[in-house]
Amino acid sequence: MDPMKPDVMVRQVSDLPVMTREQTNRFDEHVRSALSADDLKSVVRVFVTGDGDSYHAARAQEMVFESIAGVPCHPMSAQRFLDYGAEWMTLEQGRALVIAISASGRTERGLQSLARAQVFGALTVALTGTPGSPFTEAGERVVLADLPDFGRSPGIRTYNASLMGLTSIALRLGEAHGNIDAAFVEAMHAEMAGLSDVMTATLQAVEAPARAAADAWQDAPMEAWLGSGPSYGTALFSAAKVVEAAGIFAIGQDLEEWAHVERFAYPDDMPVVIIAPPGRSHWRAVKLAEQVKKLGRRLAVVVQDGDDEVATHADFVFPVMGEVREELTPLVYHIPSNFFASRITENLGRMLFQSDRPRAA
Amino acid sequence: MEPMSPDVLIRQAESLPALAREATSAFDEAVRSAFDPGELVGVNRVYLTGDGDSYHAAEAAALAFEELAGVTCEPLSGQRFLDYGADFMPIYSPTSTLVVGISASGRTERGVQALERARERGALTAAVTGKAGSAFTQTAQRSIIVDIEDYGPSPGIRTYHASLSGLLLLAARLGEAKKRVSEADAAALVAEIENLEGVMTATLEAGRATAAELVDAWKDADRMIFAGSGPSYGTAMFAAAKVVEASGVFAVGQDLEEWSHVERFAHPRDLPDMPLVVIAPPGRSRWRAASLAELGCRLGRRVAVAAADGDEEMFAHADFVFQVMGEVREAFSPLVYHLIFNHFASYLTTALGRMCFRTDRPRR
Repeated sequence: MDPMKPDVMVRQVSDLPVMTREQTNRFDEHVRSALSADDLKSVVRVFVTGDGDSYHAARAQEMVFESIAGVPCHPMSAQRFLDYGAEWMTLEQGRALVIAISASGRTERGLQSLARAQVFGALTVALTGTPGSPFTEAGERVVLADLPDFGRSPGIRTYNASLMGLTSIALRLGEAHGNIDAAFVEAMHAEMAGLSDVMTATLQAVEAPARAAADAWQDAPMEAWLGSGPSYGTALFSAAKVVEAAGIFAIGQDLEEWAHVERFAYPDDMPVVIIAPPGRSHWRAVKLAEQVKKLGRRLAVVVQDGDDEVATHADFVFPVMGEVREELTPLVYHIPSNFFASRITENLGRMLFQSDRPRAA
Repeated sequence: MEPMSPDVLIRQAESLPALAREATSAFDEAVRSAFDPGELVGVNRVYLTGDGDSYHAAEAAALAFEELAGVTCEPLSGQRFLDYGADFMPIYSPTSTLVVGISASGRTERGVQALERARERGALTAAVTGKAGSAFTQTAQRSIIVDIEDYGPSPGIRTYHASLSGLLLLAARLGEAKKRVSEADAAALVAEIENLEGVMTATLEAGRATAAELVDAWKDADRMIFAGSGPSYGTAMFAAAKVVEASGVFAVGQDLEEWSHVERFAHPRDLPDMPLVVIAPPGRSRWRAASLAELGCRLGRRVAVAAADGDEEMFAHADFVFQVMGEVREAFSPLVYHLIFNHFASYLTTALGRMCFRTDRPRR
């Protein structure tokens, strides 16, 4: 693999406002042409599966299926679904919808999951960014979330494309089940496209503090990114970008679980980043931010601009410049992590995905 | 808090074989007496919720509910259930959805709140706890008391075994109520847990020296990963938590496949051979554990595996091997596969000159 420079991440994240504005309705068109109302009416619960970023996307969008579409949703990593989840889908009455995600359309475990889901009678959807890929042959229905190619990079635009595709599927599912009406679906898509402006402002607002945090924390051998609900997906994705780019051991963890387990880990000044959008778990993020600082950790927070309740405890604040509904926060709240990961990789003199090192045999 | 010596982990872990033999029947009785006759027949969805060890027990027990009881099972951490899961769980009748809150102390704040929220939503609620008369038993409609002799302050090991046993026995009896397993088969499952005493004793015997050797080899590592899938994901998280709570070393539990997509790219300059422990009991994901251990070796990691005695394929890809000495069905494997890592956590803490839960340091 040719060495992959960290600045590709900045190029990718900087395109998010444009792709959000341009692709939201197009992806929804893809969903509508792939899945009929009868298809969607026939399913009573959803399994969303994938690996790495695709699994993080599944985690991040669970809430939109449950709170807006009104359908139970189970996010699972692909091998977990393959070996455990698929067989147990049949324990409840009614058909399951299985959505497997892969930007490349080649992920082996995802392909196996689609095949296995069909064995157990689920309706399968391949959500992929690559037309003509093996995924498009493996799913009974195919939703394309394809984008103009920006070259190799840790998945950032493809991650948002997966999130957008999942959101559109959830909205159309909710509509088919009569839990939301067409006007609401249209308004939600407009809201999603409108995030373009929030993203543009956020890109400008977070670049400097994210780079400053990277400069200050480049000595840290490990770090933790924390969130709950959709922000657990955001935390997993953000940590993964740091690992993939810089090779630093960063983990994503649930807010409450960190307070029970990892809070006891050394070093005392281990950096922690809390993803704290307004929403159901904001109260816990506030308490945790206070606790994290009391424990002597270095702390950064991703919050809505003006949220001083969380920010007051932080060494670095990454402000999201506008209101975002909690279900849609995963599209925006990971933005600072890409600047952070890119900068820290530069500072360490590394290349992405260890592409500056000899490949293991 | 008084400094907590790492020896307490050994004392706790060494007591587990006897605990399995002596307490399983009582735990089973606690499960059977907790519910009204026929009450469990209509249950078709179970949520297991708790924090820390209790959440790990929930993840570890999910397969038993699905395989033995034939019900959908969702493990969720306490706050996650409180803020997200509870409002969105489907409830079709007063007994269709069972929410089980787990807390050894019976006091965990988020667990109490989760049980309250579940009751408000109309679910049938049950507490699995070591404390009768606790906030948990006062909040849940049904209580399964898995009380054990108190061995004093320690990272939860005996309490984990008790919680996990309570959950696995509930799964077996739920399966019986739903006629997925016969009365005789349910009794046989109870006996199977009881009889793990022999496997546990032999596994501890086989692993103590290796745990000490592993500490000698890995005590320089301030980061490590435990990886497993299905019930072994719970085991991986629990084993990692013991290392964190005891020694303060940053150990994390991770899903097998996810490690190969994300953390495999971590390459600390000061720790290029960052340790990886693979939990690999015979079962549904054993195939993936083998390929992962092989990948770990190829990437230059230090690799240890916990696998069944004689599983040569797993052993071929490990620097250190912890053999589980006897057959354990996958759904019950979490009762056994964490055992030796308590010794590892204890020896590591001693080697680093630390005390459990940072009790050798001023409290912040």
